[in-house]
Amino acid sequence: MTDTTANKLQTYVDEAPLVEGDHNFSTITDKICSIVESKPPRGWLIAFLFSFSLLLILQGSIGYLIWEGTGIWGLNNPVGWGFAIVNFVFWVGIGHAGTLISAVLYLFRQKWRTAINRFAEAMTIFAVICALVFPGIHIGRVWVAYFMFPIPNQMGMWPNFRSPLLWDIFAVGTYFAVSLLFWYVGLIPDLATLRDRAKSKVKRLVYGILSMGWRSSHRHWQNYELAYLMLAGLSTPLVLSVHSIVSTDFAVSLLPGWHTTIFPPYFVAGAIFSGFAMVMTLAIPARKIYGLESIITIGHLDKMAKIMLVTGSMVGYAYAMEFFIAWYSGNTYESFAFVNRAVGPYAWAYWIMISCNVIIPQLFWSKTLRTSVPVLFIASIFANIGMWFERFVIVISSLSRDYLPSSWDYYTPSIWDILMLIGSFGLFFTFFLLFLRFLPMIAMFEIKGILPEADPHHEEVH
Amino acid sequence: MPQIKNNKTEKTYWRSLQDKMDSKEIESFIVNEFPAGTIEVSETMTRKKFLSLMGASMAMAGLVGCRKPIQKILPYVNAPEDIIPGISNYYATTMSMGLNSFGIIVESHEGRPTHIEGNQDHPASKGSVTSYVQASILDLYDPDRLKSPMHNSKSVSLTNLKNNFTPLTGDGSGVAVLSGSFNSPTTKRLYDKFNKKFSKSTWTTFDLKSQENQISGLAYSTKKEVLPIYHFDKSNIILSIESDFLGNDQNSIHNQKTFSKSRKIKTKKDKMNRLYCVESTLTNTGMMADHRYKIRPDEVYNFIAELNNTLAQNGLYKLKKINIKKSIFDKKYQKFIKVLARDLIKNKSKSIIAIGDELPSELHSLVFILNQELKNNNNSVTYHSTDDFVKSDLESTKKLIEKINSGNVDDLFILDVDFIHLFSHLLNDKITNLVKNIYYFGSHKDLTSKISTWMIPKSHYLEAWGDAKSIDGTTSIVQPLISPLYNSISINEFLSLLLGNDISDYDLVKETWSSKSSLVFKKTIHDGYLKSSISSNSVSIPRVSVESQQNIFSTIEEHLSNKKTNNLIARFTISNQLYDGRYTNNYWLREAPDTITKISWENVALISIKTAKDYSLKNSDIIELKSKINGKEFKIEAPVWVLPGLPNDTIILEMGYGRELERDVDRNYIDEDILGVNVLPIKEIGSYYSNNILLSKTQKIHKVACTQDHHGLDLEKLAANEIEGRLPEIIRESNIEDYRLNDDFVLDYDRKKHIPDNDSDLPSMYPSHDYSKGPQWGMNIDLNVCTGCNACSIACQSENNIPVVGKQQVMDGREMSWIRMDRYFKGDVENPEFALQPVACLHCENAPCEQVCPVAATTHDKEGLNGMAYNRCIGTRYCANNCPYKVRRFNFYNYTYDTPEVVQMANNPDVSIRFRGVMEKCTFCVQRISEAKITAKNEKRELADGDVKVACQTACAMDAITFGDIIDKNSKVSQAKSLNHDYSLLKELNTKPRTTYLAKFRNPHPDLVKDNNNKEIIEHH
Amino acid sequence: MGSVVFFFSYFGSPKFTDVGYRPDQPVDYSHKLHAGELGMDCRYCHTSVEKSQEAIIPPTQTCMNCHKIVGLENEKLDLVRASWESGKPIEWVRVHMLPDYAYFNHSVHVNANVGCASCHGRIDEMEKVMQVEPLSMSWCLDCHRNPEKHIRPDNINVTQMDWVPSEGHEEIMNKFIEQHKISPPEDCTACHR
Repeated sequence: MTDTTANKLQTYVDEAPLVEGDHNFSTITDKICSIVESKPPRGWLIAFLFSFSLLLILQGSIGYLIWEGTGIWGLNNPVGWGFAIVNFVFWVGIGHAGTLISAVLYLFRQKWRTAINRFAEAMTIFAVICALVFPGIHIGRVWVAYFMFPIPNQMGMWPNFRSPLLWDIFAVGTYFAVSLLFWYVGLIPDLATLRDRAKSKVKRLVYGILSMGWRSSHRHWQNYELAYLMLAGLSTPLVLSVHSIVSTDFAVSLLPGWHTTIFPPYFVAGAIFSGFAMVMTLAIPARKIYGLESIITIGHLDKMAKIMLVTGSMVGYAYAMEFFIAWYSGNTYESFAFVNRAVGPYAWAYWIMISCNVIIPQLFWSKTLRTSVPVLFIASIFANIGMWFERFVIVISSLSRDYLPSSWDYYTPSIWDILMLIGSFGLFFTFFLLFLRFLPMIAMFEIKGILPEADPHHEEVH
Repeated sequence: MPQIKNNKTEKTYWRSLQDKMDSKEIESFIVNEFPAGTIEVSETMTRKKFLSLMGASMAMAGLVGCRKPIQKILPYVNAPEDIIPGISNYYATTMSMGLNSFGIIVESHEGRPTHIEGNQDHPASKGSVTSYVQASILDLYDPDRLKSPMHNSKSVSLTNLKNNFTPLTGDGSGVAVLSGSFNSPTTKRLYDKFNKKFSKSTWTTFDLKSQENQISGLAYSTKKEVLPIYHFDKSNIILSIESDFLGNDQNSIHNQKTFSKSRKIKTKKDKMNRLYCVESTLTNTGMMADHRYKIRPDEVYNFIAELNNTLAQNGLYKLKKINIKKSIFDKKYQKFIKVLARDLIKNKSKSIIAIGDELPSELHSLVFILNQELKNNNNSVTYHSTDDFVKSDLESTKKLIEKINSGNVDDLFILDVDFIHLFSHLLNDKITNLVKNIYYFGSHKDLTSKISTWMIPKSHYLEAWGDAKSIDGTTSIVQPLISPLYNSISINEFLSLLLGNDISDYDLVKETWSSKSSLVFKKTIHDGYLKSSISSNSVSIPRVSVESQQNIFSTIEEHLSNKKTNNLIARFTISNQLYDGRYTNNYWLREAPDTITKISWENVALISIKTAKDYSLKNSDIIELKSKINGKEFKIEAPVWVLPGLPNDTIILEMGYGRELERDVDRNYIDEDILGVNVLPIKEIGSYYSNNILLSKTQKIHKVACTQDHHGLDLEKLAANEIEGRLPEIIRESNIEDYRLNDDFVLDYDRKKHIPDNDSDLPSMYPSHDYSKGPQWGMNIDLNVCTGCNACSIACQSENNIPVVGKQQVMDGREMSWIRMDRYFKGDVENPEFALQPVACLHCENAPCEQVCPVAATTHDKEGLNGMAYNRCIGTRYCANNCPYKVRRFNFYNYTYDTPEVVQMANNPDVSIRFRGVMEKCTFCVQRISEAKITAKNEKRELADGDVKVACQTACAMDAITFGDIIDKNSKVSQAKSLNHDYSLLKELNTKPRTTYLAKFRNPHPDLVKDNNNKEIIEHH
Repeated sequence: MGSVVFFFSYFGSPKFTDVGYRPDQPVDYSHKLHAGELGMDCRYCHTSVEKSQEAIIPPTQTCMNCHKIVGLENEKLDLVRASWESGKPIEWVRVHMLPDYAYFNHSVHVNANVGCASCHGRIDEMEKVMQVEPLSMSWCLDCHRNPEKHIRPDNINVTQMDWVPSEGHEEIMNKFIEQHKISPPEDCTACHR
């Protein structure tokens, strides 16, 4: 035995185990597959019915919207964008953590990701779906939305490539496609496991098709690893690009409060912040209901909390910087836009945002709070609220008071705005619960990969 | 670089009360209708919508499998000679209003009149229009007009009516006729015939807004029945006493045209008139004034008396002093009167004292004397005989009411006057119990039609033959543009019917004009007026000896109030939207926000800030007003609105609202139940204000749609200050004197921000378009002469098919008008100055809207137009967000889907009707541009300056708007843009707007300048 | 995906949906006979084509000018005579349909020497009128971008149907376009208001 391996063993001994309890390969498989195979707990059923009814509300209000027109929203002349865009940006933000966790942490060989990456990715996909709903329906004439795509037409017209909205379509579209691919590829081995364990014909068939004839041969694993690595490499820049580009919707315009260069990094930081918050919000109940405490350990939550602390503070810095630059620029319109946020008619929203995004995360400096599940859960929910309000503040307070005071106006959401916001959560959770029900929410094979057993020299220790 | 300091006139601006006062104070005035975070359901599913929904789904089901809808073409069988499909014809005709009449040119497409413009050569319109004239085309297509004669509320055919309608036999005893005043020779002829034939009958004439006092006052002095015409182009100093000559006045177009002549500034050297204004309301004239002094209606006598005395002291020795026991005016006010008097005398024969026509006659007589002593008569003020007119007569109206009350009227003929609306509160009993038969000749199913036995529909003036006279005497023929849409007849036909013979109005007019040769007749029709008749009414007034006028001075002396009173006064004015109520069903005028209050669709009770404090009232509170009129007590309820610059303890009430009409079609977004309040009950007939009103606050609230301070959004101190800081830059202005010292002061604001004088030096990221080849369209708006009278925005609405959206939508901040008339107050809240700025799309050369549109629906064309392809627009609203001027309007709903077919006939076929979900905005009347270009091409010639006139430009009587090719250095617009005080709005954004503004000037009297910034010029206690 | 795009962009385009549209007319009037064999000028009936945006369908009157004398027995003309007597218009079916938001002006094109045939095809050979060009926006733009193909020299009548450009026609026309300052607009505002 060479001393290098000795050192390696040493490390194993020291590092806190990523999986607690005495799990081995088979227990992991059983634990996670059983969730999919056994009947769902009552909690799941209730949750599903609830979120599905919300989804119906969304569909209903979208129907009415398309029939009546965007007038059913609280929009008015200066405030041309309302909840729809706020929700869009919010959901895109949520959709960040997934790919960050899987791709970036994967490239950095952060083993702890394995426990959470699967449903973080799922969350990403669903969040992006929610996001994509809104730009679709917020336009005045939904039926000609295809004008935005560069397809050959009798008009001989291209879309306008100078418009950030167009960049959006490409950015978010790409992000969605890649994330979906990334997620699916990661699923294949586990789908195969489910296929092999499946008792009913139908299940075997479905999982069989989905797992694309995976036989976990050496060659398969080799290709898999390669493909996964490449996708990880591919999606890493996307994590940064998507929200940077979304931010240009605002940054490129000349509206005071939108027209700022800090937006791209600040949006990305915010996105990661909200993303992790959402993972936390989902993970904590899930691990409780399905008794996965041993796999999604406090350690995981602790790490996520740290990331939230970091990104939360970055966002806080951005808020401060905006103010400084506004003052430093000496541009009256600019500086008013920001002062107006803090003390204007939308101050209430602004201060909700500050307290949720900047102040509350500061709790995570303390280890005890960072490791107390209830605190984490509540904090994560606040973070979500805060991030929604961040977008609200940016979009609406800036629009409602711009250059010429004669056109200033106050925006008040209509009941339909509210319903669609709620409905979008319905859409999200419906998808997510279905995912929990029918797909392995934790990457079994990756967990196994980080079990002590996985180490060839594992026996040699004792 | 010149310092901004040296510009003395920089004042603090504020947009509205809310801005000016700090939030604590505001809370007491403004209802914050939407406290942050509350939710309101903007639209609810009405039955109608549900049905339409079902209907549409049926339709869709039907459409399945259609290849494409089949379109039919129905050509003429016999083609009329003068109509070429696709080419619009223009006809001259005349619209008369009260005693005046305006020559107009009407655009007609395939025989369908669509747009009205002024007749260049007609002295009363001079090529422009008022908002009333402009909007009158919509009345033609009013779907709620009475469609056929009614007898005991059963409809009767027209022939049926003509055959068996012989209500009058014998000498006409027990017969009374009530009509408005009129100026038509033919109608006058029939009127005389009528009085001759039915000698025992009484014909009464009544106008809510009448010149009666003026005429009788002048008659007292001059022994002639005359009306004045003011020539402001011949005057340097103008004093308006309660006169809104620039706004809601008989002869406003003439006034505006001549006023702007002596107001426009081109170079340092140009002279500019000075306008003093003393008024108890707030009028467009007041907003234009260099010195505006508010006064309570009951103090006007004192003011004129003191002015008279001061004039007498300072040189007009012939004037008789009026002995005033004790002046009720404070020092500042007296100083003002002194300065004013000197100024008037200094400009003898070049000044004008204009006085509101509702004021009592003795004041008119005195003002006549003053004008005479100032040598203005027959110079800047000319007088014109009114003998040809049938004028409003108050006394006989009162008699008529008495006669009716005493049951001495059997047959009452009401000619186009809403009798019940005006007088019902004066009747002792239900009219039907007092009068046997009521015959109503009118256009709408109003309260009067309800009680009348016969109801005969009145033709619109574009449907009937007739003739008219203007105050100056210009006579013209009213020719129909279209045959009556419904079974209606003209007033002349109706009168001849009463006279027992059924003659067509054409023959009636021909008969009147029988003295003229048919050639002259034809020419008159063609030109729109009779050349030889111009100012045929003018009479030169010989000097009147002051001694002969003793009684005037003594009567005035009697009326002097000796101490300041602070009892509540209700001051009644004519509405800026509905005039005397005749435009109740004209949605264009109803929705166009009031020029001063910016309130659309209804009227409010205007009060001053202090009064609001005293009675602890805030905007939208409903108050109850009681008044005793000879024994009887009357009361009304109206929502309150606080307006700066009003005298205290004075309530301004707009008449003309609250007419109840029965409507045939109800429209989705237009809520017909909004009528405003009828304030006439508490008004003593004939008086223009009523003393000792009792005000009591109710607990009720009435939401008011105000387009400028949407939702009464309450401004905290911070925002108020911000606005004060911003506005000097948005509306740039200077005292004329300072301007002479520093004539490029407009640039100072930009220089302060280090913006190059020439905005082509500003860098841009994108390659700029090539604007080297003409024509390059541009516009210029002269803020110095804009009165904010709304004529332009109504003209725009008519030309560009802009939908009416209804009160709810206006409250939600979705009004569609392409021209936003910004109104700002300035200086101190008690005595503010005013600034007006019309803002439509400025057609920026670097348009921010263009680069953010994902589908390139809004793009620039090579002539510098910022185009809008509605059919390409998908409605992201990004362009509107990115427009720093917020001039883009979005179709949040399908506002036009339920426009009745007849109303659609008013649409301009050269402009697309916008569908729900598309953005729209000012296009510089691109349809007119391409029409002109094509005509020029077809005629193989170049475009000349003036070939393209945009709708707002022609409508503007102040000639504030110029439009044309900015490449052509000789074009009017380039000339305007080359002036030193031309500036672009928000230049620092480097949008390079094609519409630029000429700065506003004020011409205060040097001795009074410092007072302007001074608070509390009049203390009321 | 790609095939879907192709499907719509081809089968949805006017080239596919509109070209070849040949509706039955109430009166089966033959352009082939009148414009072709009899050689009547288009402007005899479509009078306002040089003055107005509309070329107009002729009033019944125009038909009767001749058919008071000729074709008295022809029962094809019954409807025309009926319309003449009753004063009720003949309901022709529109063949060349432009959407309402596209403002096309005949006069300016005709006065720029663009031949009728350029857009309407060989009407003189059609028994029943048929749409031969897609009349789509891109089709308009093609001509507006290089008009020389379709603009005729002054000596050629715009209504002449069988005219074919000679050799080197385009070079000549480019000069012609220079001289007459013909500048076909490509801006949205040219047609959309």
